[in-house]
Amino acid sequence: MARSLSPPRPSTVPPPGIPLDDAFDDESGVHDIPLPAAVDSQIPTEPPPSSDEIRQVLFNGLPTLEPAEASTQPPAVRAQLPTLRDESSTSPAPAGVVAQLCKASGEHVTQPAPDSDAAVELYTDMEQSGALRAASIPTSRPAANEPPPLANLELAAARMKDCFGEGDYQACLETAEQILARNPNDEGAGSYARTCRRLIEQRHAERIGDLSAIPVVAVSQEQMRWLALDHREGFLLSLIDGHTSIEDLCDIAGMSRVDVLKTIAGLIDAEVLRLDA
Amino acid sequence: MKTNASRLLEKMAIAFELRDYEVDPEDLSAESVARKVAMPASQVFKTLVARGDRNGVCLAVIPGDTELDLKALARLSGDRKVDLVPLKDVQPLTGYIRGGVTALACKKDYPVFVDESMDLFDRISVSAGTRGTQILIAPADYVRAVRAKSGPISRPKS
Repeated sequence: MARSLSPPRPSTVPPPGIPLDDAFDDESGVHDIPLPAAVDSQIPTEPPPSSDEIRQVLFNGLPTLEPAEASTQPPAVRAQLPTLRDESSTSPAPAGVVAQLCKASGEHVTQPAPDSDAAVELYTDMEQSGALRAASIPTSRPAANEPPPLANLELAAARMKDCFGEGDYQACLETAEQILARNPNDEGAGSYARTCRRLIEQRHAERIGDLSAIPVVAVSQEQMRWLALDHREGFLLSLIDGHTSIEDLCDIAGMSRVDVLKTIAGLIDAEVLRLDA
Repeated sequence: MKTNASRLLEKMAIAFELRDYEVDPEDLSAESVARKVAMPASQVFKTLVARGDRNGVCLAVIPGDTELDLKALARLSGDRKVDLVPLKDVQPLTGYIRGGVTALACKKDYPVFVDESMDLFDRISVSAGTRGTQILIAPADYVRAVRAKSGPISRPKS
């Protein structure tokens, strides 16, 4: 027996061996193509569940978790499992879910809207026991550049000194700037920040070498399209014309000197730039 | 080798260490000295002699890898304008020759201004008052010995 393909797009091309005129349906405008026997046997013959079966599953509660499944839950959730089982065995599924499933099975919802008291009670129990808090995800977190609270200023100052002693000037500078954001008159942090900027700048200058050298772009325009350049790198590259020295770039870029040197040093390391004497 | 500077520190019961190095008359730079005494140039401080239009001669102590910010020094010293003294005036004013100038046991008690970065290190190096010898000392002790005022008076070399 020829069976039409039920999902929406019937083929308009008959398989080889079937005349086009025989397969074409004048009324529907599509070809009625017989399925191969192998495909036909794969179509499930089991009828869809009736609405009664769906209701029975929904209103008799959720299946009880097996011990193996329960043991994989975190302790806070595992402690709630008996309560969940008990509550779920008597509480109906939400009305919206019932309506959707009934609609899918082609029947109207004839059951009264399920009582939500049980759900509210369960929620209250979980809230009181802290299970919800244990599973909750923080909705806000402190911004990365947020200055430390006043109570932590001493810790921040200690960290700043440690970083400086270890030669981690970048971390020291960041910490000092955080302290200055909270207290702009902190002379110690200001001193650390200025010194770290100078030392970082010197480090980058040493990496580059001669600052009077003229940087030249060492990659083609086509290659440059595929480089993951940030806005600073892109801007500095736009200023490089084969005549301007690094020292001049520091003057005209409108960026801090340390940023220019850091960016140029990075581009030289990445072989995007080379230096002409 | 004992110098007047080291004697002064001994007299003040300040702990210090003398470190000798080989002198190259062609290269008396602080960076070169830093390499020879195996310390970062930012911790080897050089002493420059300057003259302000209001307060006269002063000594500026800055990291070896930086240059003196004359405007910053003028602000700190209370002058409107400050200039470095000519090289020929350094020895008559301080009693020390170029490459061996120090604020310790100077010919006169000139006001001393040190760069703020000095306070950030555990130990710094300054000239012992002669070429070929450095004094390693705690910054706080040095500031106390020369009664220095601290401030941001250096900038990166251009």
